[in-house]
Amino acid sequence: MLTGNAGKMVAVLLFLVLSISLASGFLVAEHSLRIGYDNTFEEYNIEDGHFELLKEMSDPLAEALKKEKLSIFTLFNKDLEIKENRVLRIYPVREEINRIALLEGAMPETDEEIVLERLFAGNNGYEVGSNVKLGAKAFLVSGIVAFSDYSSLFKNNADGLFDNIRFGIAGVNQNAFDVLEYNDLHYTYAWKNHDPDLTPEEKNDFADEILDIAKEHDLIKDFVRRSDNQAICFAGEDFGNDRVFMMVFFYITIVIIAFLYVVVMRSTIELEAKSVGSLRALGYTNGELIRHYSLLPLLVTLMGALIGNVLGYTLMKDAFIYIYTKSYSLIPAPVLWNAEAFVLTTLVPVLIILLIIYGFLPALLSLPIQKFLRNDLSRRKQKYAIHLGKLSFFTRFRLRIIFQNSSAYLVLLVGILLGSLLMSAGLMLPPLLENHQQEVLDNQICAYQYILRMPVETADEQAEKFAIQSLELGEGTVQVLGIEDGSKFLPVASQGLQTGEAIFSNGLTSKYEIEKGDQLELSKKYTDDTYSFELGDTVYYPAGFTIFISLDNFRTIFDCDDTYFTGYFTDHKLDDLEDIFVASIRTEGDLTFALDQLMDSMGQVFKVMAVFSVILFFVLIYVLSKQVVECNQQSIAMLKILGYENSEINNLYHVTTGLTVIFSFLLSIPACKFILKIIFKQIMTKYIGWFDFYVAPWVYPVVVVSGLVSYLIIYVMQSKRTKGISTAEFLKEME
Amino acid sequence: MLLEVKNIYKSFHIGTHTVDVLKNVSFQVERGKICTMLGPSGSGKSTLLNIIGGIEIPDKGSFYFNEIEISGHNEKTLGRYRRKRLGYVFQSYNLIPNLTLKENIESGAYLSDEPLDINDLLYTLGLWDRQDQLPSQLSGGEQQRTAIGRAVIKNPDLLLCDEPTGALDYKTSREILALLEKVNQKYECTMMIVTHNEAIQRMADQIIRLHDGAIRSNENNTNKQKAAEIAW
Ligand SMILES: Nc1ncnc2c1ncn2[C@@H]1O[C@H](COP(=O)(O)OP(=O)(O)O)[C@@H](O)[C@H]1O
Ligand SMILES: [Mg+2]
Repeated sequence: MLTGNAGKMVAVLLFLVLSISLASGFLVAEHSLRIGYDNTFEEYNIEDGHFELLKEMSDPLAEALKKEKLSIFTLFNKDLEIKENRVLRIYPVREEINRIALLEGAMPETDEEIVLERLFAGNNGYEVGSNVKLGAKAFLVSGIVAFSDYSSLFKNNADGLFDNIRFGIAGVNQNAFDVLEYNDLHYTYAWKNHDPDLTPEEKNDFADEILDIAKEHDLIKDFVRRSDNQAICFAGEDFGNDRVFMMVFFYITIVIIAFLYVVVMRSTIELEAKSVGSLRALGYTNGELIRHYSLLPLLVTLMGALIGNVLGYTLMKDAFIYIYTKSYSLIPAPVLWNAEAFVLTTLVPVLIILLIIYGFLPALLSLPIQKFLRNDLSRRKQKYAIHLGKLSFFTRFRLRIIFQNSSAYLVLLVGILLGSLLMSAGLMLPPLLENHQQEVLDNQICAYQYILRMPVETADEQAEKFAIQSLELGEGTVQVLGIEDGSKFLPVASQGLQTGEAIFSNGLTSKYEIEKGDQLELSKKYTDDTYSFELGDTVYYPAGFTIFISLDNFRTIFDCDDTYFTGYFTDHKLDDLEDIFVASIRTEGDLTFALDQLMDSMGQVFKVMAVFSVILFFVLIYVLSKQVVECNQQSIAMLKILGYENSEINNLYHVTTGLTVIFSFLLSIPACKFILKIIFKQIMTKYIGWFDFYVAPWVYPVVVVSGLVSYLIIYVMQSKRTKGISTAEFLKEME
Repeated sequence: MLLEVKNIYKSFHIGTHTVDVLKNVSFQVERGKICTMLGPSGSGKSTLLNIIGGIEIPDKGSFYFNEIEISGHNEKTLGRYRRKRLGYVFQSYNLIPNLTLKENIESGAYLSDEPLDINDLLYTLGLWDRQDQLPSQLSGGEQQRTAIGRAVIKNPDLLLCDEPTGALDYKTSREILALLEKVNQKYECTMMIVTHNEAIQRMADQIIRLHDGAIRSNENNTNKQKAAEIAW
């Protein structure tokens, strides 16, 4: 069995190795990162929360907090724009709370040394030994580090996405810190509960208490519980997000591989039918024959599992960790042996393959001995071949080849479907995000959205007041936006708002399948307050889940006074507002930059998916077209003896495979469209935001072309092979 | 003269070992005749037939078909020669297993510009009723008749048969011989029948005996019998 199937088995082996190593690499990386990440909380003594005051803590507050079961740590920090659009947040090196992990070099020893967070350093070309100028003073980068409280580089906790290109963290000695220039000084204090075993609810209540106490004594700028702190928690939520889909695709691949084996074994048994018959006649049992024919697939599978795991734990794990560490500032974790990964990526797939092999083999071998001796293994008892009417001889010949190899072609069809699905998924997401980005830009409310710390008036006449409140809907967040009557920034949404109607953004209605007249209940975080909004109309607003109501209505619903507002929509900067009153300014750049980041971190995964599917196409078409040629080797030799030319033989055998490949693609594209839409919807219901389903027009053509190119390469290989089938050898073997 | 074979030599090398299979073989066959080639197993009959069929290349010597030299041409030309001129029948029938009986015969017809009428041929072969069956559903004799049909339908100048009855029982063998005779008469096709069955020579016009790769005798059969009269 080995000699004839060596090429096919090597191809299957490679593919198996690739699949298993990808899956196990993914799981091992995810597991190691997760464990490592979870451990940092204790190892690096991560805060339970922090608050920022307008100035240093007053003595009464300090006294009041001393009575509570917590420790307070000073975490002052300074934001400094070190270059155009590059902000560094500098902390004095801290040793007690939110400890720093040194990745390279050394911690600062002198007042002229600085350590930089790894991602910002890498993205901006800093390394150990580089110089950084902070204001007028030059620092030498003594080390590259990871901050345990900044695994995702969120500059503000309210930001939609982190930013590790334009925002970085640094540490210097206390002396250096004290004299440092700054654009913004944050009087931040972190707390740590004395009791580490509090439940999330208790922690939350405790935080509420702290907030109340702090409010009582001092002016608070910011208050962030750990569970709300995106810089700390975001990465942890992202690990293994794609796990379910990854594993589903992996198992489908494994089933395809198992059926490849079945097809190969079946044709081997057919080719060797006469010797199988003789062996059976000699008294060999079915069990012995099953063992004989399953030996090679078994060996290949076990080898694939072994090599796949080795590669999974080394190369692939590193690749996945690389992908994660490109987005997150993680503290390196040791690779952990992962029993679950072994079960899921090795034991289960091997069992699936064995189950399918041993499920089909007995059936293939269980025909009566005479059938083997007569070389008649068709299960169908029919006396007549399928009637094909008046089609041309070549057409009928090709159809007979398709019937003869129907199981091979079926596997091909399913494989091409899966490959197309994987590939179009990989290819569609970048343009989908770009499309979304463009849509967000095209539909933005204004160039600048000012959020104020307190209501202050501007003299700028084109600026328009608005109020905003974030509410919770399940896992997601919905912004309720109160806008002025007849708003010129939101003309569509402002119509009808006078009547007290609420207008929902399209993402919200699509995701939660809300119809006109439906009520949507939202809640305020950490409170029992709920708010109900009735859908009056839908407006296309892709930037996020938003409910538009009139400003007056907003003030009533949220119990604010008649003049309350949160900020301004404006098309240019409002120069008369003092910085101290401005909490944040959202610009066009913020919207699109977030998506750039998302692209950057996920881009690698898309590439892996696309490459994997090309390999899937290649292996499938290769194994199955080889299969078709091999099980017709004798017929091909005979056709040559009859005087058929190589081109005619190619026309019969290879073109038939080619037509099946084309047919499979034609069938799989609409199927892909359908399935992708469903899967996408499924993902979107889990995802916190919403993207409109969009497949760039080039995606499907690229899928088909890459499949056809794979086919053409294999066509050339295979037609060389048929050319090489020797008539003389065939006649010799016949004797 | 349809076929003229001149001083053919052929040897095979297996490792360091050399087997001289054909040693200076020469003979001629006239158009329309049945020529049998007899000889013990291993005497080189199949090798000689395959050389004439353009499947093997002789080491030395040449052969002419219709006064045109065939030997020494490349594979493509040999393929065209087989395609246009020859029919081939083997001991093992070598039908295409996934084509029906009729389609197997059509695979021969496809190669000819002027094939015989397939329905007429199916009647002649006695296969009319079975034309839509697959080879695996046919008996050995029926399969061999199909193979003959496939070779004959393109109306070849020369039909090469290598042990056509070798795998068949006595009764079926006689039927096949009768069929070959009928084909010879009806379609005037020249035949070379290789066999180790001494009885078959009686229906031939010409009898060649091969022994150990050399021609031992080559004579015309003065006492030609009808296939139906032959028994063994
Ligand atoms: N392709 C080959 N390679 C090696 N030896 C061969 C080959 N073909 C035939 N022979 C040898 O040549 C001799 C004659 O074979 P063959 O022509 O088949 O004899 P016959 O048909 O008379 O039985 C045998 O000894 C056989 O082993
Ligand atoms: Mg022979």
